[in-house]
This record gives sequence, structure tokens and C-alpha cells, in this order.
Amino acid sequence: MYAAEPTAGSPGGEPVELADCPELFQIRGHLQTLLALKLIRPRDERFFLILQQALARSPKFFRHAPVVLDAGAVAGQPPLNLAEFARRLRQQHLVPVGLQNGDEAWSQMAVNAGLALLPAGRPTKLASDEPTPSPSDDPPPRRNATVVVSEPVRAGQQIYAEDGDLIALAPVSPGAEVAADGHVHIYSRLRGRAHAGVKGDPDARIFCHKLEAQLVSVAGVWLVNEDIDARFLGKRVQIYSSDGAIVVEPLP
Amino acid sequence: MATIIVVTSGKGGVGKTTTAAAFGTGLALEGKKTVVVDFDVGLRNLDLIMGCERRVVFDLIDVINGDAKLNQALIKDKRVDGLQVLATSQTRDKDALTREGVEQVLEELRKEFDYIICDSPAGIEHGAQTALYFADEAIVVTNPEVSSIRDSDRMVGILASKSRRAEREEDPVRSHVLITRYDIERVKRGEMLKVEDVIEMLALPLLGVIPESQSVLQASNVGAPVVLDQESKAGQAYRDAVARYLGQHLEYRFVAAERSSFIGFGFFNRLWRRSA
Repeated sequence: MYAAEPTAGSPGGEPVELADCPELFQIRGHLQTLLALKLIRPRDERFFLILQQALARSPKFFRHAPVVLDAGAVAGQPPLNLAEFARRLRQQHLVPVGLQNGDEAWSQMAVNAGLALLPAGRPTKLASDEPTPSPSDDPPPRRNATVVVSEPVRAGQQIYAEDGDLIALAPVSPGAEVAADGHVHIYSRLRGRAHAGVKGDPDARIFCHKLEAQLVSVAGVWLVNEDIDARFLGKRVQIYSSDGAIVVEPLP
Repeated sequence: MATIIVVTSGKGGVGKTTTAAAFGTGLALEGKKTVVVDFDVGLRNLDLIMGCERRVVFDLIDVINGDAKLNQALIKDKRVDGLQVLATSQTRDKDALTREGVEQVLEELRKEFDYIICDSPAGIEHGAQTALYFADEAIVVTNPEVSSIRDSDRMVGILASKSRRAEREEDPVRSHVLITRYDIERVKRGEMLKVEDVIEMLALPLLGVIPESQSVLQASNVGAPVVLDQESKAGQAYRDAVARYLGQHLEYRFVAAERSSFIGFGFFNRLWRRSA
């Protein structure tokens, strides 16, 4: 009753070529740091229980972390059912992405489980390497990686100072967003959004010369413009978190 | 070496095509060889505003596709020497605008002209991004009201990050604000933003302030860029903008006496500085 559907992606049904399309994507080389989970005695019945305890020492760090399974120590042994193994890892909120150092049998099992086969990586220090486990839920230590922005931050732009502070020397427009794991300093007008302590540091603060923000947040607790005490709008303020609530105070 | 100027805004209906036509014509009136190029594929308007819609045989897309040579598509303006128009297609869609194709056309145009004015479509998607990609300078057309300012601000951010100059880390695209549809009475009543408010929010040099004017509609109806209308205030303001662009220091006429009464001429003068 109906005419045949044209091939996907073209109005007239002709095949669509890469050269005809405006840029839909870019393929680029990319460097990443991943956790490696080296399998030593993966068949031990206590494996997942002990793993859960290890992850619980730094839950925020491990949550949704991509993980490479390292089969270097178990090569020669019959491979695990990696599909099932990966499922159990995901239950603990790890994201297995690949296998390294596996022999042929392990590699085949990995491919069947939808894991990538990765070349052996280099050991490297991670942002949250802790030589001794600590029982408390510490956020990753802040490095002094301060980002200084001297041009106005325009609507639609987002600037994130990871592991450090952000300093803006020019206005932040409405519709712009500045964020830092540490403090946010704006030596100008803040009209957009500002987020301090993005990874959870409750001691992070926002400082600005003229508060006209649409929204501010410290360690995830936010305050919208409507709820900012009118006395502070347009003024030089600091904003911090106290007992889980946001406090706005004039700068001395 | 030609200068490529993109006329853009983000927001629709603020006066990009009117400005591209008027500014381009104004440059040609000052003796500069100028071509105005329409990048609004599918919704083309530039040829109407320039008054050459009945002479369009080939367009930008035909040239990109190799179906016509550039000199077959270029249309000479009948009124002003040194001014030409490159219209765009009404029937194709914007996917026909490829970056490589546009680059080749601009390279050819550079050899012939002093100024290439790119009339951008509204929005921030493919058409607008293609229009701004090769620009050396930008005129960001803004109405003195909040949503236009927000969109212009967004566009300035895009110029600073998605132009070829930004990608190659060359000198950035020189952006200027042109305020259009400025209505003195509404500003005085507080209904419309003042010039200084606009500039404070956009933090860019002010190329000009074009007053709201009936003559703009009349101009587009007859297909004669408003700058040719000697009596029109908008036309005069566009000529001032061109003169300012070319280096003259001119007062901003047709603007409500905002601060100039106590800060004086100096305030607006500081808004317009040519860098060395």
C-alpha cells in the first residue's frame, strides 16, 4: 500500500557519502587515565565481598569509574565468564571497558563480553592515590591548578577549574557558567551561574564584586536569584556553605 | 588583502540583512570594492534588499557545486560603482553550504574585492557558523532589549571559539556591536535599554546606533539599501558607522542624551577605539 521507505539519511533514497555531509563528528586520538583491576584470584568466593570493602574506602572516587581488567597474572588459566564478571562489577558501580594482558582465550572471552582489547598501559599515579586507606569519605585533595580568565565569559560558555580555583577578571554574562572544585573569585559582575566546591568540598567559597547571579552553589547546595536577600544584590559578597545551608555575606 | 566581515546576531529579525546591505553599500560609496554575500540558504533576502532579485541567474550554491563560475553569479549593483552582490539559493537547503566550498569562493573573492560582507542567517547552527567561520571581523547586530543582547552575547562567545581564527589561535575576530532599531522615545520612557547598558553587557566597541525608522521598510520595499536615502536618519547613521569603521571619530547622533550631558563626549568616544 505504501511506497518503499527511502534509505535512511537521504531524502531521495541515494546513499549518503562522507564528503556530502557537513561535519557530523570528528575522530581524534585521545589520552585517558584508567583504573586497572589486576585479577589475581578472581575465582575466590570472597572476591566481590572484599572488592566491595575496598571500593567503600573512597566511594566517590570509584563510582562509575572506567576500569581495565588486567589478566596478566591469570594468563594460562581458563578464562572467566567475563560477561558475567563484568555484570557483577557493574553492580558495584564500576564500569569495565576492556581487557589488557590477556592470552588468546581470555581475549576471546573479553570480545564476547563486549569489552575492548587494550594494549598494556603504563602504571601511573592517580589524583586520589592514597597510600593508606582512610575510613572517612575524603574528597580528592585540591591541587593548585588555578584557572585565570581575563576575557568576559559569554552566554553559553562554561568554564570549569578542575582541582583548583577559578579567577575571573571580567564579567560573567547571564547564561554563562563558571565552576571550580575550589573557590570561585569574580573580580567583576557575576550575572550567570557560579559553582564552587563542585566535587563536594564544603569549604569552597564564591567571591564576587557585584552579585547579580542567576544561581550560585557551594558543594552542590544551590541558591537562585529570587531567593538571594535583596540587600546583597549588586554588592560585593562572599558566598559559602554553613551547616548545609548557603550563606551570603558582604565582603569586608 | 580583502577583509571578510560577517554580519551576525544570533537573534532573528534585528536587522542583519538591512545592515549588510547598508554597510556594504556605504563602503562602496567610500570607494571600496565591496561584495555582499548571502549565507541564508533557503530564506534568502539579500537580493531583495539590494534590489537585484530580478537579475539573479546563478547563486553561491551554484558556484560551490561547480555549476557556475563566480563571475557568472556576481551581480553588479546598478547604482553604486564597485559594489556587487552574490545571492544564495532559495530552493536548496543549508547542507549545500560546505566549508570547503565556501573557502574556495571566499579565496576567489579576496582577489577582486577590498571588503567581503557575509550576511549571516539567524541562529547559531550550521548556516550561521559557516558564515562566521572565515571572518576577520564581525558586526554583531543588536536591538536594545534583553533577549537580543543575550543572543548577541552568545554569538560573541561563538565567534571567539568557533571561528577559524580561534581554531588556529590567530588574532581573534574583531567584533563590534551595532545597535539597531533604537527608539529614543522608548529609551526616555525606560521601556528600552540605553546604549550604555547594552555596551556594559556586551563589552565590545560600539560601531554605531541606528535609530528605528520608517525609511528602513520603505528601502526594502523598493530594493534600495537605506544608506542611499540621504534624508533618512537610519541611512545617515549607517554612513556614520561606515565612517567610524574607516577611522573617523564621530559623535553618535540620534542617541538620547544619556550620560553625554555630564560625562561628555569622552564617554562615547572611549567606546570607539581603533587598536594600533
